[in-house]
Amino acid sequence: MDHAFSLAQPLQGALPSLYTCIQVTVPATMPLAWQVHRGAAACSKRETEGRVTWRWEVGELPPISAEPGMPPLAEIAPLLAVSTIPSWRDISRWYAALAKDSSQGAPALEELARSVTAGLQTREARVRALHFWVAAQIRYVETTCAGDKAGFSPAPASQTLARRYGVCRDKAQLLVTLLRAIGLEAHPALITSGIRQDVAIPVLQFNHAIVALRDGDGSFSFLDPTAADSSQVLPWMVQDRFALVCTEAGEDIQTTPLAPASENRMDITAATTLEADGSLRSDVLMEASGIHDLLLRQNLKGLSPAERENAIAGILAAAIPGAQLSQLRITGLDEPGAWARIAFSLRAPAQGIQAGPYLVFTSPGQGGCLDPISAQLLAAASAAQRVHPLALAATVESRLRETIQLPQGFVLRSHPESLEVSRGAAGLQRSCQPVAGGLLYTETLAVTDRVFAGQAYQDLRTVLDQRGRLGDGKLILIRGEVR
Amino acid sequence: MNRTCCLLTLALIIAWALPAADPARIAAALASPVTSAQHPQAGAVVLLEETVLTLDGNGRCTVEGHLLVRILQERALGGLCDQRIPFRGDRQSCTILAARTHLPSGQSLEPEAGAIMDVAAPEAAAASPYSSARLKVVAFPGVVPGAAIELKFRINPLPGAADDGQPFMGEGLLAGTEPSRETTLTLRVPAGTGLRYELFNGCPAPVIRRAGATVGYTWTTRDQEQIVVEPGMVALEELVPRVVWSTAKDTGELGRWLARGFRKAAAPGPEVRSQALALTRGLASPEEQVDRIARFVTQEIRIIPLGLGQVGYLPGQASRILANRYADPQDKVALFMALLAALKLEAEPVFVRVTRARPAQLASLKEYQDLLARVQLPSGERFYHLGQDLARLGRLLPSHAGRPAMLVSRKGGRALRTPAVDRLQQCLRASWELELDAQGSLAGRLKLNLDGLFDKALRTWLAGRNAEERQGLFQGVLDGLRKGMQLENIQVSDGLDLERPVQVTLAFRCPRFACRQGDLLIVNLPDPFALGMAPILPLPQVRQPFQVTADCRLEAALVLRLPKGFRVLYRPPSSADRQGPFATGQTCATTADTLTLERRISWREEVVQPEAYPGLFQVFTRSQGPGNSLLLLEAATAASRQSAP
Repeated sequence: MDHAFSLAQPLQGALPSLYTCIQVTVPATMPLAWQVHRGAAACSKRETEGRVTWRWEVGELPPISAEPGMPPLAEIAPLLAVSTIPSWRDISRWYAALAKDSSQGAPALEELARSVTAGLQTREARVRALHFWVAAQIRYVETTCAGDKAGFSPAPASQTLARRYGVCRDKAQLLVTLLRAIGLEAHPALITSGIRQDVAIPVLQFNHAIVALRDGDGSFSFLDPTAADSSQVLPWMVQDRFALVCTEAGEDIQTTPLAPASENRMDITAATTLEADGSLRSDVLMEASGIHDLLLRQNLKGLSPAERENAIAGILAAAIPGAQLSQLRITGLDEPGAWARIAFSLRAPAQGIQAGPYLVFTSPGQGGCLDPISAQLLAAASAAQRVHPLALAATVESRLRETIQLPQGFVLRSHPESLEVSRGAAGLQRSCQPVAGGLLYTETLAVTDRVFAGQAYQDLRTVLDQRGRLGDGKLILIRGEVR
Repeated sequence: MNRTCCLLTLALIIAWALPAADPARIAAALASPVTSAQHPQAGAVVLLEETVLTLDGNGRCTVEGHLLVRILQERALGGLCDQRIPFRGDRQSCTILAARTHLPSGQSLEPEAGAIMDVAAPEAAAASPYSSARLKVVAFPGVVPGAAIELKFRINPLPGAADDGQPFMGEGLLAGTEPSRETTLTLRVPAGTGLRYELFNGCPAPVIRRAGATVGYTWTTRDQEQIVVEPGMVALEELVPRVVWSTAKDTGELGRWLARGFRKAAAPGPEVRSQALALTRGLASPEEQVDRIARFVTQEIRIIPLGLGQVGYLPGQASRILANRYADPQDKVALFMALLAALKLEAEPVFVRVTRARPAQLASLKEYQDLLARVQLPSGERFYHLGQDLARLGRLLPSHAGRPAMLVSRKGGRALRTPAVDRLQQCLRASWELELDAQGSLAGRLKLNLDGLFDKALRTWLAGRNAEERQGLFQGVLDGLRKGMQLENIQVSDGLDLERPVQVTLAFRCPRFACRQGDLLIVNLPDPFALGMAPILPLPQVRQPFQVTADCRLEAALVLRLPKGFRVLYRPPSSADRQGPFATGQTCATTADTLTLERRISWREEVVQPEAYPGLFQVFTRSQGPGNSLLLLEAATAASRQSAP
């Protein structure tokens, strides 16, 4: 952006600092706005020969220690924002002008838009089709591997299409052009992926470009075609972040939506049979959406079928010693926009333990072995007390339904208790219900917010502690007849 | 996997050479039907890979490569569409002769000029003396499944680049992790050159042709199946056809060339002399002096993790390395030699073979992947791994212990084997003291004594973390062990002290650790090796030979004080089991108020063949089974009810 200067600089870092000074000299005719978020700095101003020198000084500051799951440094450290840019609208207009020539339609682009959306009846279906086409068909490349790619200017959409590769702004620009080709109002949007950037002072420190689509009510919805492995059009790393839609008229900065937990869901269904010899078998179906789906794709999509099977067999064998995988079927991984589904059967010997008169089992679902992804997403909620808030990647929901068939000639002596606990943005329902010949086990965990501090964090811990004890209980069987 | 990189890396030492796959061959290769149905595990198929290395009479080498790959699956795009060709910017130029995407429609696209570029190798980007480690990057346009990419390049020696006398040596793999229709390696050398080669894993004999004053050796493989990568499998070099070659007459000659280079680099200048004196002031014995200098070079000279040979094998000047305070492995050894020379002590470079693949008998530096230093002292010889700043000083890790190596002395090179380490030096000992109350709450203490690779793993994990951050890390581990387990206190020995093994003591508590179900108190005992990185056999069965990489031993002792008013209904059984390189065992005993569990597991370095692997997996699985971690207590009142008539 010519004739403008802006800066967002954390004033505290991972090392202790004795003294920090930031000095900016601008022409006296250039108004400069500044603000220190989450802290203070001594500011001085000196004008000589038509130039103004601003100086911000901070004395001794301790280091910020890293804490698992803490927000990025830019969200918790004192931050100096300095800008000569009058408003966010100016940045919006500037980028819209910069990208204007890149979004010129071409016959090939219009033809592509038509062919991709052919036969699709609804606006949403057409938008999704174009989004996932760009996400999947245009390879994302590292800047260093794509030639002269520094700066903000996107490549012309027709060029990105011919190359079949691009960086984020190239992919965004191509999608903008394709959406416009089917008559929709679409614009590029600048965003800081992974960080909630402060909004009071307009600074040009975005690290990512996405797409904004004008909806019927005049508001915008957002799409990120860079995320090739996401079944959501707006994946977790650009949810709940500040985005600047770039239009000729100019827009103010706004917040992208946070997907509800129901869109970041893992659904697990298991039919488990316990045997009198202590072995068990289970038929399992896992259906993943949102962040669960994204993580599954990221871990499995690049693997060959045999490597995928090895990966899942390895995870199972680590969770359930001796578990053997069979009949693995993975669908959805290679279908843009679909949810990943994994179905398999497992057999495991020596899971039942003869303890006095009892046969003691932990079933795969009840033992918490079938949902390692939710556990991973929530793993940072481990400390009793935190210095910084806990920032989860996304909201999370996990649903489990397991039917457990008991061995012939055995009845349940005891089983884990049912419970329901709801605290703030976290809730857990667990039910252990004896049914004919066995047990129906269901569990639903919902974490409906992303950032937790103070009491909200303690509430989350309470719920997760309860869930963690899921596998502590056992199915205690004893020989006998059902009465 | 980027095959170009693979083959080129190995040959970087070399000065390189090409093939002239004619247009008709390319057209025929492109026309040959290749489908996912034929290769269900493949992301791509190598239709043609030709590499030609031409050595001229001045010892300079030209490399030419021609690669043609059909993309079958989208997942192959990321690894193949940005080709990276390593070369040495100070000695070589790399020219792209042809780069094009052959579209399924039959059309072809060429990269724009801006999509072909030279970049510094990432590992050297922040260290200017190593910026000659370059990558030529080509980003292919328009690639979709069904398309093929074609890359033809030449690496030439730069005019005027000094010949450092390095022998012509290298290694070629004639298959890889994707199926390959045809792979060819040709070496062209002046007639009369003493080229020696060795073949491995069914590599065919070369076709030898003489053309004028040049002799060409060509190895060709056709229709090679892919190697599906499995966790823990042996190195690819152990599985696919492989050629190793060298013009060095023998190890002695190769060593003399290296010795000249190292001695020249390690001549101590005034700065080096004064540094050596400052470091050893007050230290009387040579052992103390050598250890002090080794610690300095290991810990205070930052390592630049360049692969051995990536910028040649000869080190830079010791004085420059000292001033920079960063170094690649050979530079570290040169500085070490220089500092010792200033004290009239002598160190010698030792090139060590880290990979487990069978070594060649001929003299080639390509057979070695890292560098150690050896010092002969009155108390015996010592080996120092100067590039490893998170392992105990003077103790070799399993990757470097008992390995084939080449010692470079004044007299030349000599083959040797690095000292083996005792399994007891690669060990973890965990002591748990736990107390459980009648409500199921647990309080306890865990003391970990680590050595060898476990010691190194913990140092690596904790490196650069302050006390608060360490607390957070250990809290995370405890929480993973059992949700709700809270760290109360932590003591960690000084991770920068490389003289002594690292020790950790954790104090913790966990409300409702045990689960009450009616009259029963269910106790899931913690995995006694939970913080000890216990070995995991990753798969129930394998297709490739499995490499157990080290001799190690884990031992745990767990003492649990039981709550009053309960009797033990079940406790883990005592057992002992052994299969191949694995042995496990445990003993468990209870008294009225205490449970004592001792568990051990050990393994030794060995290649396990696929047919023997399931037996090994069973032994490992049995040791991890749920019956080994369950303690079932029954309230005494219930017990007396049951036993009453």
